This record gives sequence, C-alpha cells and structure tokens, in this order.
Amino acid sequence: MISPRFISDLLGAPMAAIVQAEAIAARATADFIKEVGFTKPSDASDLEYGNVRNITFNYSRNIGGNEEVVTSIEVPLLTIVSIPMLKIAEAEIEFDLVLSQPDTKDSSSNLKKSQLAKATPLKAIFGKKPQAGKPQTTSNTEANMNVKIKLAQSEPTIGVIQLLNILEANQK
Amino acid sequence: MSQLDRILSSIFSDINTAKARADMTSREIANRYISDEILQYFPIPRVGIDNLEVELKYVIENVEEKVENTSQSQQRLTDFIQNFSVSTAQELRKTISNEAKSNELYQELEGYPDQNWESNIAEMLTGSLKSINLSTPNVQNTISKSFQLIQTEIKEVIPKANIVGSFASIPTLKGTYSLISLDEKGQTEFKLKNEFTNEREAITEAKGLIEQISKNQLKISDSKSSGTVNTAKLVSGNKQLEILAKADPNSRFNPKALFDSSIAKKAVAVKNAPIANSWVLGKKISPQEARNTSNAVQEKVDETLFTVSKNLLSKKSLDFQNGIQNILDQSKITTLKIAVDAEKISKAKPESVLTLKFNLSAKDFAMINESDSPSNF
Repeated sequence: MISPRFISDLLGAPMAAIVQAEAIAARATADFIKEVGFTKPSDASDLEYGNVRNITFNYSRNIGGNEEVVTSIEVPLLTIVSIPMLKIAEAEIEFDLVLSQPDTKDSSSNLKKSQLAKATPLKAIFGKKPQAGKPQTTSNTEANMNVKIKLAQSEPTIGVIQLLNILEANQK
Repeated sequence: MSQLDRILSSIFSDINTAKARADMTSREIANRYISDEILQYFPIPRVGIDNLEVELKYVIENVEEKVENTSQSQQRLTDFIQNFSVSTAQELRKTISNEAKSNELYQELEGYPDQNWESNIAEMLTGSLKSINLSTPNVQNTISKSFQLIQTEIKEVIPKANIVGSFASIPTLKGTYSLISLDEKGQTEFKLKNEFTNEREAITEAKGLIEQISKNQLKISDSKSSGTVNTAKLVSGNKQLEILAKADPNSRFNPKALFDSSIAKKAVAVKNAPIANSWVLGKKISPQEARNTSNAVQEKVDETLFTVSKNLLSKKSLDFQNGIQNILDQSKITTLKIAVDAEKISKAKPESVLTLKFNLSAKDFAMINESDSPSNF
C-alpha cells in the first residue's frame, strides 16, 4: 500500500524526471561524441579525450591532359556522421489523484514547514479515473483530482546565463 | 473540513514546490555540465510549465456565516464609537442645559454643562464602549452591559438637588451648595447667603432650620430692600443667617412682612405635616423615626438631570445597537467548509459533490521583474 504523499512530491517527481531524462540523453550524446570523434576509449570520468579521429579519402584528380594525381583528404569523423542529439520540446503529464486531508489538529502529523500558514495541507495517492455511469466500489476510492501539465523547454533567464558565464570563466 | 481558499492555497503552493523541484534538478545538472568538456556546450535541460489544468472534486460540508474582524471593520467600529460618543455627549449637554434652565432647583447652574464637561463625557463614553468587539459571540449583551456601566458613571457626573421639607440644597456652578426656601408651588422664596462646601452640610442646616421653625425659635430681623434684592437675617438665639430674595417691584408688602409670611407658612406646614404611625405603616417605629419620616424633614433626592440623561441614553443605546448591527452585517462573510478527501466524496450524495476547474498558463509562472524578457519559468 502506497502511503499518501504531498501533492508537490507527486507533481514534482515527473517534472524532475523529464529534466533528468534529458540530461541522461545529453550524457549519451557526449559519450557518442567522445567515442566516435576521438581516439581514446570512452570513459565518462576521464577528461582526456585523446586525438580527434579522422578519416582519410584517396581519390584521383585530373591535373591536365591525361595526367592524374591521387589526392588524400583527411576530415574529422564527427563532421560526416550525424550526432544523435535528443531534446524534449514538449511534454504532457496527466494523472488522477485520490486526495486525503490530514487532520490539521493532529500535532503529531509531519506537516511541511513551508506550507502557507493558512493553507490546508493535502496529501494524495495516484488513483483511478472515475468512469461515468459506473458505480463506485467501496474498496477502491476513485480519484477526485485530475491534473494535466504541459511542459516546454524553457530558455534560460538572463540571470542563469550570467551565472553560467561566471562558472565557465572560473573553469578556465 | 476546511475553507476552499485554504485548499486552493495548498494546491498552488504544491505546484510551486513541484516546479522548484524541477529547477533544483536543472541546477544540479548545470553544475555537472559545466565541468564536462563536451556537455558544457549543451543547453541545460530545463522545463517550464506551459499550461496546467486542474480539475478538483470537493464536497460542501457546511456553510458558515461569521464576522470577519478585519482591520477595516475594526476601524469602522472605532470611528462609529468615536462619532457616537461625541454626538451623545453633545446631546447630553444640550438636554441637561435645557432642563437646568427651566428647573428651579438648578437655577444656580446657568451655562452648565460647559464644553469641557462635554469633552470629558465623550472620552468616558469612548472608554466604556471601546471594549466592544465585533467577534464577541453575544455583542448585543456586551452593549447592554456597557450602557448599564455608562449610566452608573453618568450618575456620578450629573448634579442633583436635595429637598428637605420646604428647603432645598441646590448645586452651584462653583461646585458648592446653596440652601433655598421653596414655597408650596416649588418656587424660590429666599436663599441663604452662605454657601456650603457639600450637600450634607446644607441638608443639616435645612433640618436645623425646620426644627427651629417648628419650635417658633426662628425670627426675622434687619430686613431691608436694595431695589432688586430683599435681604434679612434669620435669627435663632445667638445664631444669625443672612438671607436674600429677589424683590418684586410691584409688591405692596415690605421685605419683613414677606419673610415673616414665609416663615409662618413653614411653621404651619411643619406642625401640620402628617406623622407616620405604626398603625399606618404596619410596623412598629419609634417617635424619632416617626419624626424623620414626616414630610416636614424627610430628605428627597431630586435626580431630574440624571433622569433626563438616562432617558436620552436609553434612546441612544438603541441607535448604538442599530449602528453596531449595521457594522456586523457589513463585516459578515459567508464561508464554505469543504472537504476534498476522496473517501468523504465517495460517501457524499452526488448532488453535494462539486467540481472546480482552473487553468494556469505560462504567464502565471513568469518571473518577477522580468516583464521585458518574458520567460516560461
């Protein structure tokens, strides 16, 4: 039996998961670049990438008349293969919650300090969407709160850009 | 059971906390990216809420009407009490002044009460009424008690006269007491020139004079007229008291005859005054008690000024109650006590289950002071 959690936990978990998922995808892309584009074997913890992995093309080039010369071109492999870069442009989360109202008079209940003084703390578990015309069974309480969140990739704010610039400067 | 606003506050708070959690994850990732040779060139994963829809089912458990004791209603109450006190003090002053002008017993109080008296009464009223609180369960009861207290306090600050037989100790503007002689119609015959520092002294003097009149020991001497005022001396043994009376220019009697006539009438009245007997009262009383209960020496307190004030206060208390009721009505708010507990909703009658839907868009999550560069944050 899952014990009821604060709604902020239930809402925040999938949102944070999306951010983390994108970070994992980015990590995979970085590993791909390191493995494919550089000579040293991929190791996420190793900051030494080794040399750029190049590929060499030989082809015959006509230099006038019937005379031909074999020419070699060397290019980095990364410039000719597509790099898998995934980005979540939009996400939609929808879930149904079965709310429970903890007794506010109960001093032993571990209520969040950050809750507004007058707000009634609510807890919930994920529940079954109520179906119209279908009688409810006593053993399984139907959800009474439906939440739909549409998330989009957000541009960093000016403050965040400035912060990243400072961090980057410190790394150099 | 809670109020809907508190439930919504909780949900909004939870949404903000959830968003903060996603941002904290972004922060941790940003820290990791910055130390990675490749990831440092990647955008930081960061999500913003584009749209959020909530559909909430709740059940109304109770509807409550209660007085919200806000600073606004408190200010309204304070202003009302202040204005009421000022206007009531003004009316009290006017009522007392009018009564004093037309009442023989308060002839020495010309111009009473003054502005200072009015201000002090207004202050006293404010002090007594400021204990009234809108959130008190039975506010009308508190008002009633406050007015009872006010009546008691008002009684202390309103002058009264004391009548002893045909004499009366009357208050003067100086705070002293004059002793006047009254005729059978209650009009002033003469007054003693000497004034008394307190009413008890004046009453004692009046009783002494009645005693002497009853024994025919009081004589008039040195009577004269100065045109507008007749003067004389009341003589009893070695004791002499100066008396004066307004002269009637049309009177054909000399001052002595007038004063003698007054004293003679008093003597007849004292001697003929009915004396209470045990068989009249139905209880045994001593001869001394019988004399004291006689109309000739019995003390009567005249509280006319207090009575008119009390009547005015009774009328004003109704105005005050109505005024407070108006403030109470204006300060009342209806609150819905609701429950969002799914189990309670499942047991509630379908008609008492309501649905609330709301929608938050990206602009509801905009950062403060970033109006020039809107963000999905």
